[in-house]
Order: sequence, then C-alpha cells, then structure tokens
Amino acid sequence: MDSWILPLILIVPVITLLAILFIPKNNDETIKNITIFGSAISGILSLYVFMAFAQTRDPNQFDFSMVWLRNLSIRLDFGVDGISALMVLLVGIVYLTGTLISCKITERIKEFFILYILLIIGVYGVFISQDLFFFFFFYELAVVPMYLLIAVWGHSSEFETFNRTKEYGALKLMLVLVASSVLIWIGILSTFVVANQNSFLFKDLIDANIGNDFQIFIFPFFLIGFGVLAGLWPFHTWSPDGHVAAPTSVSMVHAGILMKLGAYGILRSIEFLPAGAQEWMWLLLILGTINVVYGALSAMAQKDLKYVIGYSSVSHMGYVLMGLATLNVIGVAGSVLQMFSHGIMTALFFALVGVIYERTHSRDIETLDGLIKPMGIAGTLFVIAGLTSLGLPGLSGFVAELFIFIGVFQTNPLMAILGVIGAAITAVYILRLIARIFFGTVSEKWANLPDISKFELIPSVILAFFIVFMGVLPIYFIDAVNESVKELINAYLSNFVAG
Amino acid sequence: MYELNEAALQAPTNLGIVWWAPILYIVSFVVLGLLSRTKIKYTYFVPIIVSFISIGIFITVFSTYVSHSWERYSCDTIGVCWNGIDPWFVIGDIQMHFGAIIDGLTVTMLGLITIVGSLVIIYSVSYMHDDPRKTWYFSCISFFIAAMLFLVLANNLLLIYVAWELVGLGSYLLIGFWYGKQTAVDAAKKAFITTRIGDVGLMVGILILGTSFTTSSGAIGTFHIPDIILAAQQGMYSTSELNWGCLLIFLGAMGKSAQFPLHIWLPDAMEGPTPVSALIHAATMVTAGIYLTARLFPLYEISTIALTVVTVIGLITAIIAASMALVMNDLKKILAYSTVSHLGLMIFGIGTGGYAAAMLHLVAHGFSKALLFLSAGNIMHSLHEETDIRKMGNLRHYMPITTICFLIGALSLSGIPPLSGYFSKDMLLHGVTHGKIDFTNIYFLLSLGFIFLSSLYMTRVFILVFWSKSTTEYKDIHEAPKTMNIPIIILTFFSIVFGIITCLIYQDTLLDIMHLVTWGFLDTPLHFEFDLILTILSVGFALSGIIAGYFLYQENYVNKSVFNSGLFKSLNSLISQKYYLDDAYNWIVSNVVNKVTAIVSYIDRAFVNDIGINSPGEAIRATSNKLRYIQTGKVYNYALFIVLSISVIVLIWIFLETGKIL
Amino acid sequence: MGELSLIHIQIASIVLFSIGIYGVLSRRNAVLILLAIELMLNAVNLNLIGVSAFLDQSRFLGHILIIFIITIAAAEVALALAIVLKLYKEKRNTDVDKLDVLKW
Repeated sequence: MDSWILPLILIVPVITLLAILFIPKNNDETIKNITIFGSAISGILSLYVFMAFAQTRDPNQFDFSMVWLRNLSIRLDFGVDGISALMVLLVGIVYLTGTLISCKITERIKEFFILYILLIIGVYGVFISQDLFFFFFFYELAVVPMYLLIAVWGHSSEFETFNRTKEYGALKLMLVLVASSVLIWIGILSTFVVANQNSFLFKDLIDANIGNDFQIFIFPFFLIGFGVLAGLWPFHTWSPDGHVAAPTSVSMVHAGILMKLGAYGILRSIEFLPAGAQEWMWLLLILGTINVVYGALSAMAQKDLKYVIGYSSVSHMGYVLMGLATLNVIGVAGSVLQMFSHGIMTALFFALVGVIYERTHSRDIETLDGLIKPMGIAGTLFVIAGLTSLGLPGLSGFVAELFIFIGVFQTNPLMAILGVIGAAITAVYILRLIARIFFGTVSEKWANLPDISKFELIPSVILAFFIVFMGVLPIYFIDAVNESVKELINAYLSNFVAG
Repeated sequence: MYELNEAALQAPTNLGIVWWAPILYIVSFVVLGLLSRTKIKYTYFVPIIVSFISIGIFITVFSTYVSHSWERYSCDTIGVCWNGIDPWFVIGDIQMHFGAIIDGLTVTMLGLITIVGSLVIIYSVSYMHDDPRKTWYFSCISFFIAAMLFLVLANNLLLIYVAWELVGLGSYLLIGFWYGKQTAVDAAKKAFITTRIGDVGLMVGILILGTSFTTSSGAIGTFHIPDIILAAQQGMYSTSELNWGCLLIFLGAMGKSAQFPLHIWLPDAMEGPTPVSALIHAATMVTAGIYLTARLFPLYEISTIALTVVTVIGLITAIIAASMALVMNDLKKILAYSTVSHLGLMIFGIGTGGYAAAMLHLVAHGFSKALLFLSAGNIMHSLHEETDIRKMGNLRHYMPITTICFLIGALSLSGIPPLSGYFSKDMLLHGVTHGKIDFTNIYFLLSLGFIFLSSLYMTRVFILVFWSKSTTEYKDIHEAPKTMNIPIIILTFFSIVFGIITCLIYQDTLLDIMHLVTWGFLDTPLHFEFDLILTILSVGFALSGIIAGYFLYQENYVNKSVFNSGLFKSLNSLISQKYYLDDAYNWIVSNVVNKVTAIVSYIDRAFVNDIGINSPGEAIRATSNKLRYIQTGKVYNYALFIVLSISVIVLIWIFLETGKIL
Repeated sequence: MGELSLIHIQIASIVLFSIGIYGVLSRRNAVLILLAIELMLNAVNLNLIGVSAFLDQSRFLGHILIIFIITIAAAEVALALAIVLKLYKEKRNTDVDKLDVLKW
C-alpha cells in the first residue's frame, strides 16, 4: 500500500490538470476551487509522506519500481529518503500556498493553472525519482512551463537606464536553464555509458565504482549544470530577473523550489561521483561563499522590492552550496535544512510582496512608506520572514545557518567567517528594507489600503507557521534528515576509499 | 583526548523551578501578543503577576543556593533538574540542551533582572497608560525579560548565542516601539545592526572555542561552558585559538555592552520609552556583555592578550563616554553616556582582575541607573516630554520625591559612602592597584580621573535640572503619581542598602556569592577591604567633582571667558560632536557601504549579466544577422551552390578513395 | 576509330550534362531552365545505359533504373510547367531573376 503513495503524489496533480482541462474557459470559480482542492490533497499527501518517514526512518518504505523502457534500461523508480521527504513536504506546502495566492489572477486562469500544475508535477517528480533518466525528465518538465508563465502573466520592470521586460526575463531564464541541462545531460549519458551497469538507477550507479579519472572529469558538468539552477555565481543572473518578472506564485515556486532542484542534483551526484566531488568541492565552497557575500551586497543596492528579495535568494542559496561543499554530516545536514527553511521563507516573502504590489502597484522602495499602519498583519508577517532571513534564533533560518557555519568552519575557517559576515550584511539590508517600507510616517496615498485578505492570509500564516515551528522545535526536522545525510556521507566516504 | 565532564553534580531538584521564570515570561509574551490588537483592558496584570512569581523563584533559588554552601550546579539536561526533556536539537554528535548553570554569577544576575524587571513593569503601567498599543508594549517587555533570563541561565555557548540574539530582537522591538517616528525606527535599526556586527565576532569566537578539539565520544567539540573552561585549563586549546576565541567573543560583548567604538547605538536608543531605557539600557541587556566576559573569565585569564584588550577598551570607553556626558544637553542622552561610561568601568574592572568588583558594580549601577532613568521618566511625564536640561531647573520645589531619589542615585554613582556605588568603586580601585597605591600606574590615575568626571557630570545634571533657577515657565507641573514613584523609591532603597549589606554586614557570606569555585585567579579582591588611603582618594576625587560642578554650573563659572576660548572651546566642540564618531559612521555608510553595494550591483548587471550572459546571445544574434544574406532568394544562386558543393564532395571522395585528384 | 566502348558513351554523357548545367545556371527563362534540367536527366540516363550495357550484363540494373528516371522526369516536368504557368499568369513574365521574395 505504501508503495503507491509516491505515484499517487504525481497522479493527483495530473488528475487535477485533466479536470481543469475539461472545464470551459470562463468558469473561473470552478477552476480555482478544483485546483485548491487538488493542491490541498497533494499537500496532505506530502505531509503524510514526511511524517511517516520521520516515524520509521526507513528509506525503502515508499519504494515503487516498474520497468519503463526495457531496451534503454529505463525504469520508473520512486523512493524517498530523509532529504527527499523533506523536499516533498516543501513542495506540498509551496504548491498549496501558491495556489491560494494565485486566486487573485484574473485573466486566462485556466491556462495559468494548467502550466502551474505541470510545473509542480515536474518538481515533485525530481524529488521522488530514483532513476537518473526520470530525474532529468522531470527536471526539464519543471523548467519548460516557466517560460510561458513568466512571459504571459509576469510583470515588466522599467528603470532609468535600462529595461527588463518580462519577455526578456522569461527568455533568459529558459535559455540559461536549458543550456545548463545540456551539460547535465552530457554528464548523465556519459556516466551511464562508463558505469556499464545498464541501468539509470541511483543505487546501481553508486555500486558501479566508476573510475576516479572519469569522475574527476565529468563532475564539473554536473556541478556547473546543477549549479546554474541553484544560482551559482557567476551564472546566477537569470535568477533575479526571473524572480522579478514572474507572477507571485511562480516566483514562490521558482525561488522556493526550483533553485533547490539544483542543489539537490549536486547532492545526488556526490553520491555516485565521490572522487569527482572530492576533487571539485573547493570550487563550490569558494563560489558559494561569493554567492553569499555578493548576493547580500547586491541586495543592499536594489531599489525595487522584488529585486531585493531576488538577490537575497541568490545569497541564501549560497549558504546551501557552502554547506554541500563541506562534505561532512553537519554541513550537508545544514544545507538540506536551509533548503527547506529558505524555501518556506522566500515563498512567504514573495507572497507578501505580491500582496503589497497588488495594493500599491509599486515596488519602488523609495516611494513605499509607513505601510505597517494600513497593513499591520502583512507587515508583521514580513518582519517574521525578514528575521528568518537574517538567521534569528527561534526561527528556522538559525538552525540551518548554524549547522552550515559549524560544518564550513571545520573545512575552511575563512569561508565560515565570510559566511557569518554575510549574515551580518543580510541583517543590514533586511532591516533597512523593513524600516523603509513599513515603518516611519505613512504617506497619504498608502494610508487607506486594505490589509491582507483571507486568500492571502491563509497561505502566509501556513508558511509562517512552518518557519516558527522549525525554529522552535527543529528536532523533528533534524532527526529525519540527519540519518539520511549520515548514510550519504558514509557511502561517499566508503565509496571514495574503495574506488 | 579530552574527557567530557559527564557527571554533573547532583542538583537538588527544586532548582529546576528556575526554568519557570523565563517560560512564564514567554507565556506572557505570547498571550499579550495575541491580545495586542484587541482593546482588552488591564492586560498588564499578566506581566505583573509573572514578575512577582519570578521574584519568588529567584528568592527560592537564592536560598537553596545559599544553604548548599556555594557549590556550582550545572543542570545539564533539563532531565537533571526537571523531568526528562529531549535535547533541543542535535548537531552531528553534539547535543544542544536547554541546560542551566546555577552559581553565584547566575544568582546575582537573576536577582537584578527579576527585581528591576518587575519594578519597571509596575512603573510602565502608569507611564504607558495613555498609549493605545500598551498591550504590545508589555508583550515585548515580557519577551525581552524571558530572553535575558535564558541568557544568564544558559550553560552552553549556543544557548547564550540564541538568547543573545533574542535579547537584541527584544531591544529592537522596544526601541522602535513608536514606529511612527522616523528617529525611533532609525535608532532601532542602528542598535540591531551595531550589535549584529559584534555578533559576527561572537559567532566566530563560539565556533573557534567549540570546535577546536575532539572529545572522547568522538564529537567535534563541545559548547558546554564548564567543559570549555576545564579544557582551556588543561591546555587543549592552542594559544592562537584561545586568543582569537576570546578576542572575538569580546567583540560581541563590545557590541552588546556598548564599548567604544560600538557604543554609538546606545545614546540613540533613548528614542524608546523611558522605562525601556531603565530596564534594557541600564540594568539588563547592556550588562549581557559583561556577564559573558565574566562567565568566561577563566579563559581570559589564560589569554593575556585578550585580557589586555579588555582592560584598555574598557578604560577608553569609560573616559570618552564620561567626557561626552559632560557636554550633552538631553537628559536621557546624558544618562545614556553615563551608562556607557560605567559599562566601560565594569569591563575595565574585569580586565584588571576585579571580577567580583565588576559584578558588584554591575548590580549597584543597575539599581542606581534604573532609578535615575525612571526619575527622568517622571520629569518627562510632568514636563510633557521635554528632555533638554537647559529648559529645566528648580524642579526640587515641584517634585521633591523625585529630587531626593535622583540625588541619592547620582551620589551612589559618584561613589559617595555609604551608598552602594562607593563600595563597588572602591573594590575596583583595589583591583587596579592590588593594594599598593602607585601613582605611576596609568590605570589607577585614569580611574581617579574617571571618578572625578563622573561626579562632575552628575553634579551638572542635578544642578541644571533640580537646583538652579529655571529659564522656562512651568505649566501644570506636579509630582508623579504613586505607581510611578513607588518603584523609584524601592530602587533608591536598594541603592542605599545594597552596598552596605553585601560589603559590611554579610560580607563573608554574600560576597562569596560571586566567588567562582577556584580557578586560580590573579590575586583579585573578593572581599571588600577598607583601605583608608584608597577611600580618601576616591571619595576625595568624587567630592572635588561635586564641588567643581557646583562652581561651574551653579555659580555659572562656565561662562567665564577662560572657559570659552582656545583649548576648552575646541575640546568642547570635539566632544559635543561626539568625537565626530557618528559622522564618521555616517560617512562610512554613505560613502563606503552604499558605494560598494552600488558597485557590486552595477558589476552584476553590466558585467556579469550584460557581458557575461547576454553576450553569447548577442553574438549569435549578430552572426545570424550576417549569415542571413546567404538567402538571396534567387534560384540560380542556390543552383550554383548545389553544383559547386556536389563537385567538391565528389572530388574529395575520389581523393580519399584513390589518393589522387582526378 | 576503335570500337564503341563505354568511354565514348560517358564522354557524350558528360558533355550533355555540362551543357545542361550551363543551361540551368545561366538561363533566365524558367522554361529554358526546365529544358536544361531535362537535358541533365537524359545525360544521366545515357550514362546509366552505357554502364549497364558494358559492365552489368548479367542483370542490366541500369536499364531498369532509367525506366524509373524517365517516368519521374515526365511527372516532374508536368508539375514544374504547371507552376511556371501559374507564375506567368501572376507576373506576366518568366524571368527567374525577378523571383526573389523568399529572401533575407
């Protein structure tokens, strides 16, 4: 019975998609209701997967396997371990909250939800795949709808000296991500051939004992390919422009989940390319640290609210990459926790930014002022998200960043110090942002705005709840993740020694 | 391999109730926070009740501790003191528990926090009476006190860091309480950011100390303070690790306790409500840095570089801040600079080994300064938020109770016997001189200078506010209501008796409270010894400060020409501009920080993006722009092309097949 | 003069083919280009017959192939002439040089 849960997680959105497909275009209410209902079921399933896994800690609990294409040795193989279970939970949460937030969209809502669900299917699939082919398949599936979603429903930005139209943002995102997946695809195919196991399954590739020279050669393909999606410097520029151009719920998925796909990919490739990972991790550490500091400094200089959050995502993904680069249990565990924590936090940020934009039709920091008076609840939630971002204890960001700092400190103290400094810089720009937009005297034009509405309040509270819950009682999350990370690192160490 | 100290002393189980104090405050925070948008009245009874309960807890803990003859208890897991709660989280193999140390240091801080906390809450009931958001105010105060209690109870560095940051958050919320005022918002931001800069040092220092050696159970290290101290004494840290760890942690302490040059946030923090200043910026949060340095003192003992840095910075802070207090005109700012100055003195005291003296002064100052701030609150309340002392005067006729209390607080801080401040200052001097009066000891000379300055500015304030003829007409001025005066009177009482009780009557017993189980100190005075010469010197300097103040300000010698020219004038402008420090920081922010971030952002857009990412796209576009001319549209061009290509291919084929052309 | 051998036929074929190429490349009139293409096709046929007659006497594959070629050539010319006719009706001339709309 349990082994059908994972396919069910994919099937439920598919059914929702088909249901929407058959509803005529103008029944907005019905479409929204069906999508919300479908996303709620998915959310509950994801929660169930995570909680069941946290109970049993058994990585084989949800395994599901069937042959897909025998000649090409492709199997449809699903399974979760601690890391994927946490990510599945993340997808469930962001899916549900994103859907609720999207209910404010008025035009072409049917196509929007169809593409959105496709995106979610892709993301779910990546996290539960145990077969490298389907991993890549779902990975691509997640990238393709982004183009349409951003180009059609997004917002363009105009600055004094340059323009960033939504078409530009969409095109750049699409092309950069497709280019990076070319690298990944080369890596996958060549690994498949060299491993000579006639299988794309992760566990078979791990057992294959690929030669060290090849590993060292091919690992950069995975590193850069997945790294681009994770916002690795210097290939990160698709991310801020993409975030800003996208509509709110797409930004939530983009920053909250899509960038984690990249980090997750690097994590999995460490498993079957241990020698390569060992050889190249110094690069990831340095680039990750650059991400943190560079992203934070850039965020400080932005005048557009969404750009601040966009660069903040680049910065926080830097922490994830730093943690991965440590290749020790603490660092990698911290990285996984940061993936979840940042995903929730940035989803909350974008949701609130969407709320603000929808009321004020402005994202300019200089003109927004004193918003806490009319929008008290939104402001409070924004402050919570902001405090998470700067790593305040009691909220989820602290636990993750603490683990990462400890892990990185053991590998390279200098990078850890730069990471801590990055956290201080984050404090500066976040507090500046909050002070400028929310506090101070409220100007006439914003004084009478409506506060957050029910449809926006429920998702924001759900997200805030998870942030606080993980901050105050992190043990549930840490326990689930810790063992899987330990296994991963042990496999890495033993594989490396033997191979 | 270092053996972890697994066996905590068996603590009497009722010490576990100490955790109820912060937990009840958290409950108060949550309850009031949820009620903050409603219009329910009398919500302030919740924190008042909680504060009384916590005082009760303090008394229980105190008497238990006393009756068990001063042994230290480390409640490692809550399981020892309470009943089995899992660790908060586990890092690798390190478990982070909510564990507590109960020793003299903790008990002292506990008393200060709970007592001053409850007095401030009672005072706030009437001070914040008309504010529509007072429920949220009490919620924040509860949160703050809870975090502070966690900080002083914590037995591991991670918990201290957690509480440290939460205390910073509480301070941010309270300073920026009146968020409509831009100055308040800026002040809160400045406070948080400045302490954050210090916190970088704190976190890195904790990382260094926590991970530098592996324990016997294979963990990467430990954050448990008693273990760290024991490890340091057994030499498990290399010199540089210990030095850096101590220095960086002190950086964090500098931020929180407003030492030079990170003191700039404290004067601005006066934007918050006055009771907040009394609680946070006199008695509790700013003492966190001193508490931490005292808690880790054995480490500083070993790392002499760090100890020297501590001493020097403390002294510099003390003198500079005292000089600034002398020329400020805003009542609260004067008190703020005075606080900075006394914090510097405490740090200086720790640096010279006067550990117990510094803690004694911490408590004495806490009571006295809180008293002064609350009196300032009284004055502001009566004068409708006026804080400029040049507009005050002659208040002794209108507010007698406040006047007397203020006087006692000022005298205490100046070091006049038999008030508490005298005992602590004297012990500090004792620590500096180690019993021999040596006028070539620069520390000693500067300490005496400090005493002179502190009594000078205190006298100035007192005269300008209460004594001299006022320049303005007072409308509708009256003494403060009883709920505001009673806390002040209680604090005055403590200021008077605290010194006498601890140093004279219960000297042997109570002073041992602050005595750590022997770590092997520098010879530091743990008892108050009456040294006639020292007393004469300190009291003498204090009195001369008072007399000088009287002449300068009451008799207005200040306007005599000698004081208005040359050196004094330039010195005056230097100091009134706060040594141009604020300007320096503003310049750094707008020129360095803003420029750097603008540059980074520009590089990101112009170089990384436009050149790096866009250019392959642009290159392809340019190339295809040129290549498209191949499509001429004319049939014979295409035909020619076909013919030529086929010929070439055939020729190549023939060449490859037969090795020769044609 | 020797016997008629393969090389003679092939030379004739080459000559015809070249004339055909020249015709395709240099004529402006669409009908004349089609004529030249026909010439090329027939040249190829000649070549195939020659090779088949002299070298492949067992199966005469070339003979079979030219039947296909002749058929296809006929069909293709029919189609091509239909298009040229339509073009003439539109443009009133058959000048290939004027047909350059499908360009950059």
